[in-house]
Amino acid sequence: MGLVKKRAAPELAPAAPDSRRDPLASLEDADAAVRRDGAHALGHVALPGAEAALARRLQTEGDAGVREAILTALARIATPDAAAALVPFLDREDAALRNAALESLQQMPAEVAAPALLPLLDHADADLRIFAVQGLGSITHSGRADWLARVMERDADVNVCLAAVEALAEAGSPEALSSLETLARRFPGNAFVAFAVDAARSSFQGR
Amino acid sequence: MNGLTDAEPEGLSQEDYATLCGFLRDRTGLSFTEAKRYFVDRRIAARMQAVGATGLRAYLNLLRFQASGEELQRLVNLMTVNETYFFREKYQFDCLVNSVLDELVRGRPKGSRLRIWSAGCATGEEPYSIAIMLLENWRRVDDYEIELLASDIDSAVLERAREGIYDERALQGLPAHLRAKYFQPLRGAAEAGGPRWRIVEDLRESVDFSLVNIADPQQVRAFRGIDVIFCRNLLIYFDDLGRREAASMFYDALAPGGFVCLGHSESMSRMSSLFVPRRFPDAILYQKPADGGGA
Repeated sequence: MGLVKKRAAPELAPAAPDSRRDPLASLEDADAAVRRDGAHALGHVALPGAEAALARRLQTEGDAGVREAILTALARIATPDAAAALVPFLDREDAALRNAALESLQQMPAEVAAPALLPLLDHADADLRIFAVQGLGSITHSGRADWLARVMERDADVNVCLAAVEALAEAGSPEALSSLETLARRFPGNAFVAFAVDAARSSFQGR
Repeated sequence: MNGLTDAEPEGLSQEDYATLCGFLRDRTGLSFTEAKRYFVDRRIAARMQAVGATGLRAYLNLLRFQASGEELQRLVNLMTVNETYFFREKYQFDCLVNSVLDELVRGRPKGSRLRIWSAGCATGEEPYSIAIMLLENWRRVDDYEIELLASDIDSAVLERAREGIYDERALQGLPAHLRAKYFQPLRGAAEAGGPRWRIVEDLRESVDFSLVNIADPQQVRAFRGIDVIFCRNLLIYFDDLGRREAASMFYDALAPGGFVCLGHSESMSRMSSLFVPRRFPDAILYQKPADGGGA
């Protein structure tokens, strides 16, 4: 035994994939490997209805590998429908699924992800607003600083505001300085707001 | 082909550059930002001139539709960086022989098979280093059948890996006794640019090299039931989504409980949540959950 010589090694691997298989139908196959392949194929071949089918499968999918394949496929498809299909998963109890859905949105082009995330800034659920802030904060878009500045000036929940401060501070956004001062005035007795604003102010001013 | 191009390195417009990079990313996973412009432009211009392409569109058509895929392979070979040496980041090999393999074989009968895959093996230093480490430092090496697989997207470096001929620079990290045991000096090599050594036939026969694009699931499909994947300093050439997809491929390729070893500057937690980080005395590796991660 020890190192196996190439000639003695048995053939690796399963049979070649069935290229005739319909990737949409594959999503419902009993075999997780087939579902994964179906999801991956849908990410690389534009098929009508793929976004809805992937989202539908994601609702019930229990295999972590298939879920990830679906989430990366939606990120790769990156159409407005794909972005919209991911939004409902930001509301799920399952933190891993929630975070992975947000990551997929963040990996889409900004012009696709932003329209899906912006409406969430007005959602009644503060947690969803935080997700929207995190998503918008990580994309490269000319409107980014304005959206986050508006959050700091208007959002009633201090945690949502702080998420916006954090997102802005990471990129260093001096144009948001006045909104930062507004936030400090809105929560005058909150020590953590004072700390976060101070840190962001220093960051914006290059100190 | 005839008719040389008038394309110069600076001849690619920003739009052309983006189109080309998008094509390369889709086909190979390799991601080139604006910062790599000079690197990419020079190589594209050289290849366009070599094939006589009259413009980028013509060249892209060749890349897309050439039945043999030969030109895409040539371009890929030019675009990849293959600088490495024996025992690079050796602490990860120490981790393999001191901790990981013992954990993997726990409960497995003697004689069963272990599969180790060096993904992005370049000229072969990594898989051969693994082979040497196993033979020298894993006391149970003879109890198991160990299959060493190695792959790269670059066909030229794979040829060199199969040849197993190295210069002084590649061998500098190797202790003298290991050099003497596993390498043979090449006669007449000194006249041809410095001394060179060839890895012994026994080791060359123990590594199965293959041409694989890890961004292509059809090609990765052959890799299943892997116990340890070494993929070091390869995914740094991918964009975020490409890295995430590659991590997903590795997840599929691994046996439950299998490990991924990344380069020292890379972190799986920034690519995928499918793996569990495992801290061993020598290194941190990423493990596929033994239950397969099903909910």
